[in-house]
Amino acid sequence: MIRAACVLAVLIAVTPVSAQQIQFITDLSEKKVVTFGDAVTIFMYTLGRAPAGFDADVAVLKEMKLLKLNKYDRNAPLRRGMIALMAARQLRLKGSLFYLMFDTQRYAHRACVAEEIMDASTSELDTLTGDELLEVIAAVSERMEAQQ
Amino acid sequence: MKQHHVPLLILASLFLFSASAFGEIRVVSVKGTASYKTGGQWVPMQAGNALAVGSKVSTGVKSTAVIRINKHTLTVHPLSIVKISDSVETDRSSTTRIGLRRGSVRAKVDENARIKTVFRVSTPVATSSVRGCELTVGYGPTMGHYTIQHAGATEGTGMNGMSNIIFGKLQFRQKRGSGTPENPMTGMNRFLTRTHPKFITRDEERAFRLFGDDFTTYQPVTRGSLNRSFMVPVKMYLVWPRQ
Repeated sequence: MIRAACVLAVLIAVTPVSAQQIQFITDLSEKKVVTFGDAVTIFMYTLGRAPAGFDADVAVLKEMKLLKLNKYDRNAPLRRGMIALMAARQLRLKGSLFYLMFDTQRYAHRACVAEEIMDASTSELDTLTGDELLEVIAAVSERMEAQQ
Repeated sequence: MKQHHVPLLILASLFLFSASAFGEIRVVSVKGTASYKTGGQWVPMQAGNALAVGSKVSTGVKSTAVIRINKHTLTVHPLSIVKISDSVETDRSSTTRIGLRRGSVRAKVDENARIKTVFRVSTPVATSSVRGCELTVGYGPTMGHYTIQHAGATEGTGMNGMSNIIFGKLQFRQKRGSGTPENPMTGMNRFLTRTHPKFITRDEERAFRLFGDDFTTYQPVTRGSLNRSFMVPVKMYLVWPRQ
């Protein structure tokens, strides 16, 4: 048992981070409803950082002021407004006056629609599939590179 | 004895023919993280790797892979998954079919007047056939299929078989839930400006600002109509600067 655990630990340590990322993306793509934890992990990859567990990742995102609440539920179904708020804060979007005033999920979603990161036919209350989350992340990542 | 050699000869010739017909697919460069699927397993992709027809390629965040398919170049953008469905190259023709499940690709198609070239990128909702030499095709579950042409022209075919040829700044867009492609002008909003006659009163100008062309729309309406041609009178006053 101990030997098996050691072998597994060595295998995990040896597996390249890149392969883990592709495996995570492939698994994410198959999901019908993604969770807040999935969004945190993929956002860490987008920021160019290796995920280090949900609590540690949330702490990093709080430090970057992308997350502001005291407590987050890892298993909560991800709403489009949640990822929109993280994206709007990261990209410092200014496409919605109300977002600049209130900094809420609702108006962050509007700002993302104005920037064509999300489609106008969507709502901040929508849950997302894995492919939908990856679509948003691809748009956010593209704009982050453009800003650099 | 000779009869036994006949099937062997046929098999050998078939093998040789197939080897020459299937074009070469090789990874030119990889930036970031990319993998290809072979034998049911994802394998990290590196420059110089040879891929087989039917291979799937997946890219990670901020990652790009450039793949040479015969003389064509395919750039797989971040967070994309593509399948090289077909690649056949002969002296007279070149056929390449790409399946794009998610993300976007940029294709640079080699142009040779002597070779009949077919280069198609298909997504779950539409197919773009290259008629020029360079285009970007993307697909996402909410944004749908889009094709942006960089040079030449492309024929976009939607779910119901309706096709549009796009060129210049026109775009081909087909959403998943929609039966028909969007108007090719959809992506041009940022390039368009509203004009109105020069000789109008101040009240008329204010009305134009408030209501646009709602009161002066020519029938049939342009909104939502596709592939319809109708005459619209336009008066232009060209004023050259004084010298």
